[in-house]
Amino acid sequence: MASTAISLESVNKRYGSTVALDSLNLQVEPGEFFVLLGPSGCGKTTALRIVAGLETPTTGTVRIGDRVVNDIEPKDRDVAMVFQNYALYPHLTVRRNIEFPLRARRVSSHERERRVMEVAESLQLEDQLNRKPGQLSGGQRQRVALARAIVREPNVFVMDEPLSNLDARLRVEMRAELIDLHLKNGTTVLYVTHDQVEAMTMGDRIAILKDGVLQQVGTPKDVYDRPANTFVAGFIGNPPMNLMPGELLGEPGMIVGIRPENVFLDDNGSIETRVTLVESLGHEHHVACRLNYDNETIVFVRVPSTVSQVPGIGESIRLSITEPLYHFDSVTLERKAIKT
Amino acid sequence: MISGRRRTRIRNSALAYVMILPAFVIFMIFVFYPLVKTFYLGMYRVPPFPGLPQKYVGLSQYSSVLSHSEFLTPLWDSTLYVLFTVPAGIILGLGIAVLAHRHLAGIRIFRTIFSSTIATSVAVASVIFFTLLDPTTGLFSYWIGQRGGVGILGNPTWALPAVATVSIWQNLGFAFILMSAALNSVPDDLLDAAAVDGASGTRRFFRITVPLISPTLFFAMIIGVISGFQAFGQIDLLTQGGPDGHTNVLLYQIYTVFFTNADTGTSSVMAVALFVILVLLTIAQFLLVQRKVFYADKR
Amino acid sequence: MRTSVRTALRYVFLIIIALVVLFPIYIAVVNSLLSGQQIAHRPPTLFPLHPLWNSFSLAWSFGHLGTYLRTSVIVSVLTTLAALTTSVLAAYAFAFLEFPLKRIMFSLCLATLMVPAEVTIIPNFRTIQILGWYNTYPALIIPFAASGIGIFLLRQSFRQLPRELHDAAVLDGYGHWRFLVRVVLPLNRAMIGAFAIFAFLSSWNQYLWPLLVTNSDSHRTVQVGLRQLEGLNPDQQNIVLAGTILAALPIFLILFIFQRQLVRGLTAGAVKG
Repeated sequence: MASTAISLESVNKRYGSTVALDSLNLQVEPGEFFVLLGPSGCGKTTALRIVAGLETPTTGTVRIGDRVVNDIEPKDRDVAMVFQNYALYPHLTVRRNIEFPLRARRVSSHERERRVMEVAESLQLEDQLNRKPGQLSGGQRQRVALARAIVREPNVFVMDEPLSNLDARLRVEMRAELIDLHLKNGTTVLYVTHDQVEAMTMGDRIAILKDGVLQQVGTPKDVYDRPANTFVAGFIGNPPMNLMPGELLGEPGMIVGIRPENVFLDDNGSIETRVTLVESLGHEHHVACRLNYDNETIVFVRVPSTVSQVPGIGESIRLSITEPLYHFDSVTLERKAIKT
Repeated sequence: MISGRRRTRIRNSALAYVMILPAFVIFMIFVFYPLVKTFYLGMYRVPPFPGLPQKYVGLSQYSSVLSHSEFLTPLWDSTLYVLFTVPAGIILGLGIAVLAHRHLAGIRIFRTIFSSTIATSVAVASVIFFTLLDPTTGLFSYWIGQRGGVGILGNPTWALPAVATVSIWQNLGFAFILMSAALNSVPDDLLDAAAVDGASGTRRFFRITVPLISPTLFFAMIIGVISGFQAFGQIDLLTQGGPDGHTNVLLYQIYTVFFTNADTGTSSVMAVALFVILVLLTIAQFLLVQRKVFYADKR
Repeated sequence: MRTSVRTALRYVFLIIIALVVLFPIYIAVVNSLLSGQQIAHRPPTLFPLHPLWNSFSLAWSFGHLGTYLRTSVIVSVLTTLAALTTSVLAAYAFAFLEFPLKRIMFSLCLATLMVPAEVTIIPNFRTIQILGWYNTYPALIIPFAASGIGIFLLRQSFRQLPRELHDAAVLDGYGHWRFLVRVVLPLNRAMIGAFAIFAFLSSWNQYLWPLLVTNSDSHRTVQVGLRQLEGLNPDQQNIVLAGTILAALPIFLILFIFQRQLVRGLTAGAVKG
C-alpha cells in the first residue's frame, strides 16, 4: 500500500495575478478523513479541484497513491466528488443519477443493478429510486449525491462543503452518517468546509488555510490545544480564543491568548470588567466583557448554565483566569512555545 | 513530449472548431462576404447597355446616388411608413394589453383573440386586405362609399396609410404579447403600495407602470423601426410601390433597381445605406438594453 | 355599483376590439365560402347561408396551394433542423470549451445580428446563381442554416447549467458529445423548443428571398405562392381567400399547440436583451 493516499508538493495556483494557492504541501494518509478548513476564498476548494483534476496547478506535483496525476485526466484518477449543491441531473431519476458514472464506465447492466441496489440500501434510498431529484428533500438529495460517489468504489472521495446546503438539524444527522460511512468502508476522504465544528467532529486531521497559505496541519486536538498562530487560534473554537496585547516574562510585544472556558466569573478575581453582551444558548452562556483598564479589549467568557447568577448587560463584574495561556509574537503572529 | 492534459486541451480546441465550423462557413458565405461585396459593388457603375464592362467609379457613385431623389424619395417614404406604423402599433398594443390585464371571466378567450394575428404572415395579411380594399368587390371600399375607380390603394394620399394599417393589424398580436409580458413583470406590490398611498388608476399607470415597462417600450420601438425599414412584402402585394411611387419604400426601391433595372451598382449603394441605418438603430437598441439591465439591477 | 359599471364597460371595449381584430379574418373565411358573384353582390353577404366549399379544392390544385405548402413545409422544417443543429453545436463550444480566438469568434456570431438578410440580397443572389442553386431547395435553406440569435440564446441557456453538472460529468468520464446529448440537450429543452419555433416561423414567413431565388411553381413557398394567387381575376376572390386561409392554417395550428413556447420564443429577445 502506498504511504500516502494524496500528496500535494509545492502546489501553486495563480489566476492572472491573484494567488489562490501558495506553495501548498499536504500529505493525506490512506483511509484518513482529512479536512481542509478555512474561510471562503482561502483556496481550499481550489486545492480540492486540483486533486480531482478539474483544475491544473500552475506549478507543483500532485500524487494520488504513488502516481503523479498532474497529467492524468479527471476520469482516470479514480476520484469521486461530492458537490456542495449536489450536482444531480434534474432530468434523470435517482436510479439513473446513481448509475450515471457506471454507464460512463460501461459497467454491465447486471453489475450496475447490483451496485446501485447495494448503495441505495446502505443509504436508505431504495424507495426513492424512481423519483426525480426535484421530488426529494435536501437530505435525500445529499444522500443521492453520496450514493453516486460511492457507487464508483473510488480510491479517494473528495467532498466540497457537502453539508452546507442542509438545515442545522439535518447537518448534524448527515455528519454522523458520513462518519459512520467512512468507518465502514475506510476510503480516504478529502473534505472541504468552512465550518470548524464539522472539521473538529469529523476530521482525523485538519489542515487550516488562509489566503492560499497553509497555516497548520494536525489532529483536531492538536490544532485546538496548540494553535500555530493567532489565525488558527481565532478560527477554531466558539466563541473564539480571547487575544489581547500583553507580555511574556517581562518581554513586551506579545499577544496573549486564553480560551473562553478558561475565564471565570469570580467576585474575588483580579480583572475588572463591564458586561457588554450576553448570549444564552441554553446549555451555556457567552458573556462578552470590556476590560476596565483597556477599553479596546473584549473578553469572552463561557458560563455553564449551572451557574445561577448570570450577569446582565452593563453590570460590573470581576474575572479570574486559569492556564493554559497562549503567547503569540505580535509581529509574526506565531505562537511561542514557553519553556516551563 | 506533449503531456496528457495538453493533448486534451488541443483535442478540445479541435472539437470546438469542428462544432463552430458549420455555422461559420454559412456566415462567411452568406453574411460577411456579401456584406463586403455590397460595399464593393457600390463602387462600380453598371453600363446602360448589357454586355459592356462595369466601370470603377469609386465612392463618387455613393455621393451621386445618395443625393438623388431616386434614393431620397424612397427614404422619405420609409420614414413616413415608420412614423405611421410604430407609435400607433405600440399605443394600440399597450392599450389592449392594459385592458386585458385585469382578471375577468373569459379573459383568456380575449387574450387568444388579441394574440391571434401573430399567426398571420405579411403575405396572408396583405392578400386579405387586398381583397377587402378591392375597388369593386372589397367590403371596405363599399363601406366608405367607393365603387370602382382606383380605390384606396390607388389613391396617392391614402395608399401609404392603408398599407401601414395592414401592418399595424398584422403586428398587433406581437405587440399585445410583448406588452402583456411587460405588464406581468410589474410587481403587484408596487401598484398596491401606490393604491394604498391614494394614487388614482391613471396616475398609477403613468407614474409606475409606464416607467417600469419603459425598457420594453423602447425595445418595441426599435424593432418596430427596424422592421419598418425592412418592409417589402406588404408593398409588393398591395401597391407595388404605386400609385406613382407614393409607397415606394427603400427596400422596394432596392428590389426594383436591382431586379427590374439590373443596376447592381445603384442598388448596392442603397443597400449599404439601408445597412448603415439599421446598424445605427441596432446599436441604439443595444445601448437601451444595457440601460434596461441597469434598471433591473437597481430594482 | 360603480365597479360593476366599469366591468361592463371593460367588456364592451374588449368585445369591440375583439371584433375589429377578428373582422378581417372572419370576412376572409366568409368570402372564401361564397361564389365570386356573391362576393361582388351589394349589399354584401356577412354570413354564408349556403357555404360553397369547392374554393378550397380549387385553391389546392388549380391555385397550386398543395405544391406551395409542401415546399414551405420542406423548407421550413429543414431550415429549422439545420439552424438548430449548427446553433446547438456552436453554442456548446462557446459555453463549455476553451479554445483560441473564442471571444473574437463569438463577437463575429453576434455581429451577424447586425446584418439583416435584406442588405445582402444582391451578392447573395449572384452566389446562388454561381452555385447553380436557382430554383432549388438549397437556395431556400442553406443561407438560413445558421443563426446568430440561435447561437446567442442557446449559449446563454447552456451557461446557466450549474458548473458542477459539467464537473461531475467530467469526473465520471463523460466526453463532450455524450454530455451534450445526455445532459445539455434534455436540460435545455425549453430554450431549444422556443428557438425551434422562432426559426420555423421566420423561415415560413420569408418573402423577399424566396421571391428572388425561385420562379417555378414547384419551388415556390406558400408566401410567394400567394402573390401568384393574388393575380387571379376579381371574380375568383373566393379561391384567393381559400388559398390564403390554407396558407395561414398551419401557423394557427402551431400557435394553438405551442402557445407557451411561442410566446417565450417571441419575447426571448425582449427579455434576454
